[in-house]
Amino acid sequence: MVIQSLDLRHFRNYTHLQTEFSPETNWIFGKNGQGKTNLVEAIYYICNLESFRTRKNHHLLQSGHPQALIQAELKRSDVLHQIRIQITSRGRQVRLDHSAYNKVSDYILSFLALTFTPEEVVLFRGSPQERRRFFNRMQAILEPSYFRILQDYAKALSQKNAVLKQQQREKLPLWNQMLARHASIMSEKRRSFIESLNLHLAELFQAISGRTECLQLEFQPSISIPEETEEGIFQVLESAAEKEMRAGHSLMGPHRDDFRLMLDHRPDREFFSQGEFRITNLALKMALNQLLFQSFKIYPVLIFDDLFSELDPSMKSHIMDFFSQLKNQVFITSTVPPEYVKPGNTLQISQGTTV
Amino acid sequence: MQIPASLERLVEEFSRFPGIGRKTAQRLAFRVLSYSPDEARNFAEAIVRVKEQIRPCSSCFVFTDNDPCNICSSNSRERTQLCVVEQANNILPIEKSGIFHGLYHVLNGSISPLDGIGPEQLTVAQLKQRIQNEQIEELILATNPTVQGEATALFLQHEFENQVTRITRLARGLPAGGDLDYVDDVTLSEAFSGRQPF
Repeated sequence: MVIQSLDLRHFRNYTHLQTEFSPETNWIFGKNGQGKTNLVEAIYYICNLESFRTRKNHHLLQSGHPQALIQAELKRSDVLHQIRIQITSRGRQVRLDHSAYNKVSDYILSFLALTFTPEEVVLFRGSPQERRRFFNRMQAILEPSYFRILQDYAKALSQKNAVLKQQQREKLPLWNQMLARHASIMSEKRRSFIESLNLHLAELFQAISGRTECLQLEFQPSISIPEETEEGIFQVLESAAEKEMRAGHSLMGPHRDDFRLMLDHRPDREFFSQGEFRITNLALKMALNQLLFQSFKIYPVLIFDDLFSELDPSMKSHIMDFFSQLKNQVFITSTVPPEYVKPGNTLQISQGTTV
Repeated sequence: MQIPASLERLVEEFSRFPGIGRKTAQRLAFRVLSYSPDEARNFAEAIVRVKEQIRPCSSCFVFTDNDPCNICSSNSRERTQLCVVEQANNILPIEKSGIFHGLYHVLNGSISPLDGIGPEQLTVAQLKQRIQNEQIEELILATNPTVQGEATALFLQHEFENQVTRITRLARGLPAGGDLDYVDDVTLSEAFSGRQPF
C-alpha cells in the first residue's frame, strides 16, 4: 500500500496542502507546533478512517471552517485508487474511486496503517486496560472472528456482574460456567496470538537495536492455571465466589488479563529504560507488520511520529538501516532534517505548509 | 393538510407496529379508509377475535385457539421427544420444515439477570412438571445460539440431566445450499470446530 499524493483542505492547521510522497521513506521535519503530526494524522485517517489522537470530528477541522477535505491517490497491488474523505463535525463521507463507501471493516483491511506515536510508547507502562485494548484491536484486525468472541465474552461478563450485584449466589454457578466457556476460548486465542508475535519479536529487536538480548511478549492471565480449560477456569471462578459476592462485581477473567515485555529475564515496568520502551515498542509494531503481511499480503503504511527523540545516534542509524530494508511506505516526523541516510522524500513543514 | 383526528388515531396505532414508520403507517391507514364498511368491520373483528380466542396452550405455551393445542392433543406426535424453544414463533419454521414430530415447550424468553429474568420468570416449573408426568425421553434444546440462549440451555441441562435419557442441543454451522464464500467468520469457525467424520 502506497499513498502517492495527498491534498488537504481545512484539515487541522492546513488551509491547503498539496504534496506527493515517495513509496519508500518520507521524512517530515520542522519545528514543534508546525503541523507534522497533523500531516501524519491525515495519512493515518486515509488508511484507518479514524484519527489516532481524537474521536471527535470537530478537532480535525480548521477553526472557523465547517468541513475538512482529505483527498489522496493510493496504489495497492499496482492499482491506483482515489480516496476522498469529507469530514464535518457531524460525520464523514468516504468516497473510494468516486463511489460512496460504507464498509469500514473491509476498507481498513485494504488500506491499513500502523502507527508509532509518543503516546503509544507508554503502552507497557500504562494501565492494563490500554494494553488489552491495543492487543484486542490488533487481534480483531488479524482475525475477524475474534471481535465476536470479545463481544460474547463481554455479554456473559455483564450478565455475571448483574448476578453479583443482585447478590444471587445460587445463580452464580451458571454464569461462572458461561464465563468459563468464553474465557477458555479467549485465553486460547490470546495465547496463540502472542505465540505468533513471539516468533518474530526476538529477531526484529536484534535487527532494530543491534543488541543481543531476547525480546519476548509474556501473557499474564488473570486466571493462571496449567490448562485453561472451561472446567479448570470454572473451578477457579467458583472458589472465588464468596470474594466476588462481597465485592459485588467480577474480579477475575480475561477482562483482567495483562501483557508484558521481557528482555531476557528483565520485565518491562521494573527494568526498562526510556529508550528500551521505545525500541521494544517499535519491535512489537514491526512484528505486527509481519503478521499482517503473512495473513493478508499487505504492507501497511508505517507512521513514526517523533520516533527518534531519546534514542542515541548508533540506535538511530540501526533503525534507519532496518527501515531501508522494509517494503512498506514509511512516514517519519522529526524536528531535525534527515541525518543518517537519504530518505526517498524530504518535506519541511512550517506553519501548516511545506517549505 | 391537517389529518382528521380519527384517521390520525389509526395512523398512530399502525406506527406502533414493529418495523412500521410514520410513512408506512399513513399508507396503511389510507388503505383502511378505502375499505367498504364490511371490509373494515371484518378487519376490526379479526383483531378482536385473535385476542379473545388465542391463548397460550396450558401445556406447551404455544399460541392456540383450543386448549390443549393441536400439537399437544395430536395422536400422531412422538410423545417421547420434547423440543424447548424461547418463543412461540420459533416453532413455526420447525413445523413448516416437517422435520420434527415430537412435542414442544415454549419458555417465553431466555435467562438474563441484566433484565431481571431468571428461570422463575420463564415456564421452567411447568417444564419440570411435564418431565415428571409425561413419558419424555429426549429433551432437545433449541434456544437461540446467543449468550443468553446458551446460558438457558446450560441451565436446563443441569436441571434435567438426571430426569431424561438424553439431552441434545441443535447443531451450529453452515447453512444448507449456501456458498462458502458468503458464510461469516463466526459461523465458519463454528462449522470447523463442530466438523464430523465423513
